[in-house]
Amino acid sequence: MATDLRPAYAEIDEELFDVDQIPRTSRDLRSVGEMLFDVDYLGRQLLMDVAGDDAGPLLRGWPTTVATAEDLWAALPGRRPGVDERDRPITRLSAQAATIESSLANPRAWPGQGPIDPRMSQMAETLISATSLVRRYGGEIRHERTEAHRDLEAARTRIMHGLYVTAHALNVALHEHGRERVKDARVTGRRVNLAQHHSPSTPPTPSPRPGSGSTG
Amino acid sequence: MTTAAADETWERLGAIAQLLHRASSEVWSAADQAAPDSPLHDLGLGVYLAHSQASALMPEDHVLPEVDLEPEVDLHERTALQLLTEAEKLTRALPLHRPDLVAGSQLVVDLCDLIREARGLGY
Repeated sequence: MATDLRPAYAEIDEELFDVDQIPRTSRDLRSVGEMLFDVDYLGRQLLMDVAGDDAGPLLRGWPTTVATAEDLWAALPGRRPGVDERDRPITRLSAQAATIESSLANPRAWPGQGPIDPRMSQMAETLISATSLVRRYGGEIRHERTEAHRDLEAARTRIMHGLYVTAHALNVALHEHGRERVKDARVTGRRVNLAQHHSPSTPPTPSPRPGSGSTG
Repeated sequence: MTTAAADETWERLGAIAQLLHRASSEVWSAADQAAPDSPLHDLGLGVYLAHSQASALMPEDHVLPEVDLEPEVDLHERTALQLLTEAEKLTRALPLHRPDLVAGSQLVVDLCDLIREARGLGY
C-alpha cells in the first residue's frame, strides 16, 4: 500500500520557507573555491572587527589554522616530489606557526590555556572541509591540463591570501593588546614585563662584542 | 585571461579607485573642520593612499569610468564608511591570483584596516 508522503513534504517546505530558520542540510554543499572565498570573507570580517582582547584567543587558534591550510596545500593535486620552490611560503609559515605552538605549550607563557576565537575555529573548520573534498575528488583532476593547472595555482594563492589577511588581523590584535598594557602600566605606575621569548620572524639583534666597534 | 574578463577587472578596480577618491575627499573635508591633532587627518591620508594603491594596480593607459554602481543613491550622499565598505565589497571578486594583481591582497588588508578605523572614529 502506498503511503501518502504529502504531509511530510509539507512540513519540510514549511521549514525551508520559514525566514527565521536556517534549514539543516546533511552535508556541506560548497565547492573548494567557495570555501576558500569564505575563508577570505571570514578573515576580512575578523580584520574589520578585531580588538586587543581578541589577541589571546586568536593566537591560540593560529597554529591550527595554519596547519589546516598546509594540509589543504599538500592535498592539492600536482604536487612535485621532493623540495619544491612553490611550497616555500607555506613551509616557512608552518615552521613559524609550529614555533608559536610549542611556545604556547609552556604553561607560564602568555596567553596560557583558554578559549580559541570562534572566528579562527570557523576558518580552520572550513579549510578542513575543503581538504576533505580535495582528497575525495582531487584524483579526478587532470592537473597537467592548462586550465586545471591555473585553477590549482589560483587555489594556492587564495590559501595564502586568506592566511595573509588573518595574520594581519592577529597582528592588529597583538599590537592593540600591547598598547592597552602600556596604557594600564602608565595608569598604575607599574612597569610592563617584557617577554623573554622572541618572535621566530624577528630574532633578537646580537649585541656588539666589547671592542668590536669602530675605534675611530 | 580573456579580454572581457580583463576589462571587467579594470572596471572594477576603476570603480574602487573612484569610491576611495570620494571617501578621501569626504574625510579630508571633515578633517579641515577638526583639530590639527584629530585622527581624521590620519584616516584621510590612509584612504588617499589606498586610492593610490588601487590606481597603481591598473594599466597606465586605463581611463577611469564614471561610477554608476547604484544609480538611485548619489555617491555624494554616502558617508566615508559606506564608500569604504562598498570598495571592500568590490575587491571580493578581484582575481587576486593573477600576477599583476599580487598587490591586491595588501589593498584588501588596508581597506579592512580603514573600515575598522572609521568605525572606531564613529563614522
